[in-house]
Amino acid sequence: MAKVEIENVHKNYGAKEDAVKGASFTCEDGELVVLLGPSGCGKTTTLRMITGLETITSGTIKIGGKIVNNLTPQQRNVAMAFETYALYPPLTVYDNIAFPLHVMNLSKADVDKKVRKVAESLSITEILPNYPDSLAGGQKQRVSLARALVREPTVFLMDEPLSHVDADVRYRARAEIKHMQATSNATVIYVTHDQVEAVALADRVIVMDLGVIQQIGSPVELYNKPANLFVAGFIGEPPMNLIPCKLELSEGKIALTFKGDGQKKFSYSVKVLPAKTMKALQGYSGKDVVIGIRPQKLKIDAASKTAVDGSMDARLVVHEFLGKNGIAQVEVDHTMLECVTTPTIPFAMGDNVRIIAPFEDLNIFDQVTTQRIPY
Amino acid sequence: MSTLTIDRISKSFGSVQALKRVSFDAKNGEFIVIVGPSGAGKSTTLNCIAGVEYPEEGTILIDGQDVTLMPPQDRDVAMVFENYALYPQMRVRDNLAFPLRSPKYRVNEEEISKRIERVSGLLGIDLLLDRLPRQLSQGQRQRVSLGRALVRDPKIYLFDEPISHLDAKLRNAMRRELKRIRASLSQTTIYVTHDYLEALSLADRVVVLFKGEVLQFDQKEKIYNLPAAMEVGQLFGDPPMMFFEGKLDEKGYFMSNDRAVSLTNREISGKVPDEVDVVLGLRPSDVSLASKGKGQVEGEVYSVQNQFDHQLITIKAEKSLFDVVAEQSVSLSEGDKAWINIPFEACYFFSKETHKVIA
Repeated sequence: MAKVEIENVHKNYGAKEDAVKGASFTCEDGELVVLLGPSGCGKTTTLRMITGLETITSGTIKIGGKIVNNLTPQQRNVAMAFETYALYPPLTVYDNIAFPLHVMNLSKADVDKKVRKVAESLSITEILPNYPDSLAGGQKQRVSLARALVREPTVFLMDEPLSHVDADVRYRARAEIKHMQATSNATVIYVTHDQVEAVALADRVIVMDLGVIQQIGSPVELYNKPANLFVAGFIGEPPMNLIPCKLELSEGKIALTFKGDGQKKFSYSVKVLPAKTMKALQGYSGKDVVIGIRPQKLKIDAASKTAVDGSMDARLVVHEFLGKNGIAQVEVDHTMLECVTTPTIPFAMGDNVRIIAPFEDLNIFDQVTTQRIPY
Repeated sequence: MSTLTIDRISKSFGSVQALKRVSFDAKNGEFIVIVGPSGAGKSTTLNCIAGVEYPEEGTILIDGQDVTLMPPQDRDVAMVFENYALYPQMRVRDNLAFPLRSPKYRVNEEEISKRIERVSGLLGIDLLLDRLPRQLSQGQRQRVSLGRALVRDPKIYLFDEPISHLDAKLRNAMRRELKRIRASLSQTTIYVTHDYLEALSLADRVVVLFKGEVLQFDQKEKIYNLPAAMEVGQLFGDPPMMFFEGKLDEKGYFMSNDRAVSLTNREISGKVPDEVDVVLGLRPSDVSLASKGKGQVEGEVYSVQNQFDHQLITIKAEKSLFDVVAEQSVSLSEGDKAWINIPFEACYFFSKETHKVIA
């Protein structure tokens, strides 16, 4: 398959604002890249520009190193994977897969070679003589994929292919897509608004909002180091706890004071923090920042008089039992924070507890630019 | 403040039997969640309690009084629907006040203001009271619709999938909010959903309904930890419970049909009859990866899905696919060999014939 390169691509539909504002990214050969964002963020427009279904206002799109800006979708040889899901019922699986090759004037032997090779890679050799009606859903999906693959497309484009799949089987459908992509080594660009689906499938995720790429990164990078407040709030379930604070750096201490009555703060001893971190945060001392901590990282513990780094008194508001885990909602200074816990916890509603936010699990964002402060 | 007793109610629509001798009860102030897949009979049950439908058999008691055939307006129950029909020309305040100005439940305006203040504060819509519905977000409209039921002081609240149509992110946020609201409600509540997380979060006790029958009625912890039937296990968990058909041999080993699993015989012998067709149920979050050559199952990695703070690894062994929840630090990719550890505590055994749990 081929590498796809998008360089400074704009799309304007005639409004004052561009629908896509200077998108640049690369999808390597054999990579699965997901375009993720809320509705109206420009992800589908971007995909349609790659397909050739939409013209581009400015910029360059390259497939396999070749500029395709002015090529038709056919000339680009891209495949919309699940558009072709409908199989021809009167044809066997073999003939369904061979169908797109008929227009290529290949010899019978060449067609046979190509069909058997793609069938082998998707483990459907056994069902080649069968008819579509006798197949299970997953097999049909594989046959339709084989039919798309057999003509050796440059890239696969998928636009929310699982949005109509029932929630309880969606994880298996995702496993199938992942498996097929890994075994066929296809280049895939996939569009979704569902962050769970995006991180499940992607080698890299491209997060978009308001026509602008917010971050490009692996699922782990997005989760641990979101580039800005939008990504921090969009990725993760439950969402990241985001707390406006005032940062103060003083002799031997970092304090992050909640904006409420100014009494509640996370304090850390500077002695244990690397010099690099201190240097990066120096310029923010005395300024307003937003701190972010994942509910999975915020610990809940019995109330105690002895303070440790990053500990704070809190009140347990409610706790949800959710089977394999639980979620506690705690209140600190009129701010509600969430902690992911074990299924049950030894505290009751209204109890005084303490929460602990380890410094290494904090993200600190510039309140004005909303960007994460690198440290 | 009321009790509710549903005693063996049945209901048919033409040749389809929607409810088959459904029984459960709610104590004073208890929060009961009815959960099941679509078509299970959840809404029919709720409609029978509301009086919108009448069961053909069985009785419904509110505070010990037989209301089975009583018209809805005399039952003093308040219903919240998924479909929030707010009056578009009325401000939020008047939408909330509407039920209190109806001839049946009329209260004086001073009391109305008091109740609106309390409910809007509880739902966080106190700053939106002068807006029109079209000026609200989807989540805000949902809150107003909840508020319209909560301003009343009925014997029982009935909720019919109030947040099901919201997208996953908003639904989870609303569920956590409902959990907080629920803490300050004292009314008996019956809540219908198909989302097991809502059931586990909100309920005191859960009724699991499947094809018109109650499969289990129990404390929520028991529903999750001790599912009475395969369908209950499957409904409660994401990814859902995996099932493997097989037999237990005379030593108590479980042998799956494709020989992918052979479990140690610890504690099984005696509890499950030998040579009986059984179904082994396993939750992906209860099994783990074993070190090389260890564990009960050996296979090949089929796919790896990232799930934020952990990964879902699907492993193919013989003809079966196993899902295993693993730490983020595990580094495996498609085609790698992998071994699965199945602790005995993770095994649920069901009868292949009845789908009910064995011992």
